[in-house]
Amino acid sequence: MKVSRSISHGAQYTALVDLLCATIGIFVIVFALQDLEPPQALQPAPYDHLVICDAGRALTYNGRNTDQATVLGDEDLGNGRLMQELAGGGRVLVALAGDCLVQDEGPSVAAQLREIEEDLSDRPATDASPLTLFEFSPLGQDDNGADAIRARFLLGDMP
Amino acid sequence: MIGLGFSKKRAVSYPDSDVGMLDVAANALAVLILATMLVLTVAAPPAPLGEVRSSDRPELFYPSPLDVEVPPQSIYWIVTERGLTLLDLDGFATGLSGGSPVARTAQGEATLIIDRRNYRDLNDHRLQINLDWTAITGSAISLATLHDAAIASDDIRQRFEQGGIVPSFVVTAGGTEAFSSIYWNLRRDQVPMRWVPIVMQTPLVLSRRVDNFETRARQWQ
Repeated sequence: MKVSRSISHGAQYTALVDLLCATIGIFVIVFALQDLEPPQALQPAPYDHLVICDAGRALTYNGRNTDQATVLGDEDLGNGRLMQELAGGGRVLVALAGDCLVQDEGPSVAAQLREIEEDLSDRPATDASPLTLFEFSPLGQDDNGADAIRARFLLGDMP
Repeated sequence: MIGLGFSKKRAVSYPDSDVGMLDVAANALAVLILATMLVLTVAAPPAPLGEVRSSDRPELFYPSPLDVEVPPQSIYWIVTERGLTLLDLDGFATGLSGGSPVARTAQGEATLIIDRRNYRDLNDHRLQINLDWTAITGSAISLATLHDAAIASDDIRQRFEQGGIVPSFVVTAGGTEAFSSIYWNLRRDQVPMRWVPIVMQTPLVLSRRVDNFETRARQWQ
């Protein structure tokens, strides 16, 4: 009689002890799965698009997945063809030679690319559209020339 | 809840052996929770590279001393085909400090226009500098070779690392090619910068408007 009463009273706490043990088990497992990981330097994402405006306003476009450069005309800046290529989002590297900074009858190539940047960057706060990040760089010769930059872009060897 | 349970248990004088396991389990859980909180508090989150450099972070002090001379946070370089020229904004500022709207230096003439806004907490201003391009190109640091560009890049990098001074480049079409070496050197060294093109013989305008803070706010986020 006494034993059965003790068991019945002890059984009142069985669920609580079970709950506590389960919680402890979760903590132990979480602790056991932890691994010390030193903080790593964040690396920028690789460029997804490359637009080169070489001497003589020669425009080319390279995507990340194709080795073949697409030759663009001046009209492609305004008719939406380049914007369509860039609409997928990602990092865009624009390399500009000196000729592309100068106005020639119409607005300069640099100014038209800035308009495309503004159009693609303008997005409502609630929209989950992909982010397009432009970086404008000057185009030089040799190591900083069009061919060298294109080769580094295709290799993914850019800072 | 657990405390109430213990009190109730003790009040009706049940044997301690019934609650022994419960006591041990509750204490073990409390220790684990405390250890977790301690780990979360002590462990430092990984610091992103490029935002705040821990070695450059100034120590907090009180009372703050009065700086006799406040160093500039940014400097402007004019890049022409002859090379780099540091724009002497201090010279223009000295000329404007007396209240005159126009200041002249060897590098050109600056006109300051301030538009006070009563309904905003900031004023618009516009500084138009008509550069003397002959003087600018005449005092330029040559960028003819890669070695010249490397020396100039090192100088700019040291200004950033030691004084927190960030460069802005105003680049003419003729200076683009020479500037490309400096650009990629500074990108490699993670020196923040900005550059804008300019057509020679046109004025350089430095301005601040409400639009700078409102229309580009989305792009800065």
